[in-house]
Amino acid sequence: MAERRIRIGEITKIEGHANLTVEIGDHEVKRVIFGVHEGSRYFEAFMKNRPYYYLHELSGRICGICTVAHEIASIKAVERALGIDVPDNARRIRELMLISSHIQSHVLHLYFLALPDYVNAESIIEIAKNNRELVKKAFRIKEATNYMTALLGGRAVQPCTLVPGGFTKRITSTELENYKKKMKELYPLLVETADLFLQLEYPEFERDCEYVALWDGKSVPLYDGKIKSTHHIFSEEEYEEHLKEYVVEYSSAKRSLIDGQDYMVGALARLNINPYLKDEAKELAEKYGIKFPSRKVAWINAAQAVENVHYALEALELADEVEEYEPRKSPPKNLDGDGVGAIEAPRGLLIHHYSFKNGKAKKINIITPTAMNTENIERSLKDHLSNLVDESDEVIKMEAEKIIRAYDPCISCSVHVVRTR
Amino acid sequence: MEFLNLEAQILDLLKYLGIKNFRLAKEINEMPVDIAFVEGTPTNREEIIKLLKIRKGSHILVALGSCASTGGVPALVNTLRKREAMDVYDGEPPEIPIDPKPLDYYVDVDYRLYGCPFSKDELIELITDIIIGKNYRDKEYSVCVECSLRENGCLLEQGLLCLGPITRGGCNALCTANGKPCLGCRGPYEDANIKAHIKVLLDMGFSKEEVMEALSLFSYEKFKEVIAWLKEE
Repeated sequence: MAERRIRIGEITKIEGHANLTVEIGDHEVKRVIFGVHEGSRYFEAFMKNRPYYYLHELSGRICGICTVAHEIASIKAVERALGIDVPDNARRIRELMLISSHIQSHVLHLYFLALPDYVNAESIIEIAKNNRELVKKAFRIKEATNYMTALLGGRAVQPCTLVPGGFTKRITSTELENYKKKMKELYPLLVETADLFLQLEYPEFERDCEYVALWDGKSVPLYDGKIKSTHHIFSEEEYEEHLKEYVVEYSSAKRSLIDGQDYMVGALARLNINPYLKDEAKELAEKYGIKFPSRKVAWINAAQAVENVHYALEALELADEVEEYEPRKSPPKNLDGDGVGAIEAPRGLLIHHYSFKNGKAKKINIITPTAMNTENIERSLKDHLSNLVDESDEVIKMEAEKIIRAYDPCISCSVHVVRTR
Repeated sequence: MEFLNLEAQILDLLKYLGIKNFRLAKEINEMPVDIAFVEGTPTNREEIIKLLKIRKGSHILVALGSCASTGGVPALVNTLRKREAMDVYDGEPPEIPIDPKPLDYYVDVDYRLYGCPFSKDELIELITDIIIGKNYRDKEYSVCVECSLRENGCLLEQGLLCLGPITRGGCNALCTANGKPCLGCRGPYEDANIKAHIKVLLDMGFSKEEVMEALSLFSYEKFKEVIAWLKEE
């Protein structure tokens, strides 16, 4: 029997609705329940039997933050399954979109959701009262990154130019120049952001687990690569052999293990798996004594701040290689087929897997980063809170929330459907 | 989420209104409020109860975005039999699925901001109108009106299945300006001649199935009668 039961009915400052229950007895944490009580939304059920050209429109609506990531992963799966050609140039433009939307998402998480925990404020709104300039800066970065995504995507949220085969519109050299110009303007702000977030005092808690991310042996890839974990490496198509999904009775979100182990995806996992940071980003981190790989869970925040700098530089290099894009028809070579699209969403690996018959989806499987992280979040909490059992409820709640928020969970993504099969 | 994408404009808005309850950004969340913005649509019983409480605790309730104002993409599950939907749980779902409906199925809604995503300009327009006491009204004209004003070429004329003629304007024809046919994310405006447009699409050579598919995507709840009619035709 638990002697103490600590409960947070609704965890604030995360995307979606989740609760937490911690049961403590005999000076140890008996049980941690990270529960999700959002209704299931049956995306995988109603996407079935829909024509291939609507799938990214629908799956983009799973979530309001990583719409770019969902659309691109979805399109990649469709293109692979049906043999739709994509010019290299279009791929690079997609990468640019991924980068600006990654930075947008990281900045939202760092300033708006995570920072209040570390400066003793209730919310960003409270921070704005005393430090308006800081909040303005956060908004400036968000605005700039949304502008960049919209240059290429028509709009930043639910971009409307992405289609299997490329883009619906011409992407001009002026738009590409503007993207580059904006990224250059933004760069110093991203360095300042890193300066701020690399100095915060994060919980010291460390834990061993598998880290999983895309890998290409030379960069920190977002769009293409093999899937690498601490102990395994396999192709996107082989994901089903390694990543096993399951459900627990107290949550409406799927969970997942890699070869029987819990695992972490996201910024920290990416940097742990890919030791290929740009020198500027690496030196910045080292200036504050931060090095990857690291087992420190709360350093997910630091990893996001470092990634911002890294990906901004990456985008500037990439933009130099990109040429104007002319829309072109690229019809499917076949209407039956099976395809997997794995990319890195801001919160980590995202997999879309479709099978088609006559151009219509017959099998849909989508594994989101938060579904991958959930088991890991719960185990991290159990270990971290075990060191704090003698503390007050308030301290335990605060520490638990810091860990949960560090993962930047997106509950909406995780409940797109539960499948027990 | 899209609310935070107002960016620096939020700081200006905060001069006129306070944010009492915003779980995504705040630790302390209070009710009652003057204006409640509700995003999404209930998909379980708890959420229906929460919606009723929000209605009780607010003077003005705004349905924010497609899901809240028309049922949106999640309402596509209503095209399935319950049995089919529950099949993804091997017939044992944690709870019986509830049909996603527009919020006005459950409670009175004062204003609606259509679209997926909703238009930030319209949000600012609505808030401004509320502050200065002006009556905010839905746009009762089609996307085509705005599309023509932007002088985009007509996508129907290029042979694409576009729902612009029956879809409520207010988005400034963003998708069509980017070469993508309108998918109807804002739902039909009040006097839209839906059947006439369906006839146009069929005459263009699209199959009944293709037309039904397009109509269901974002506004199944608004189009289901006409879809049933089309099926019988």
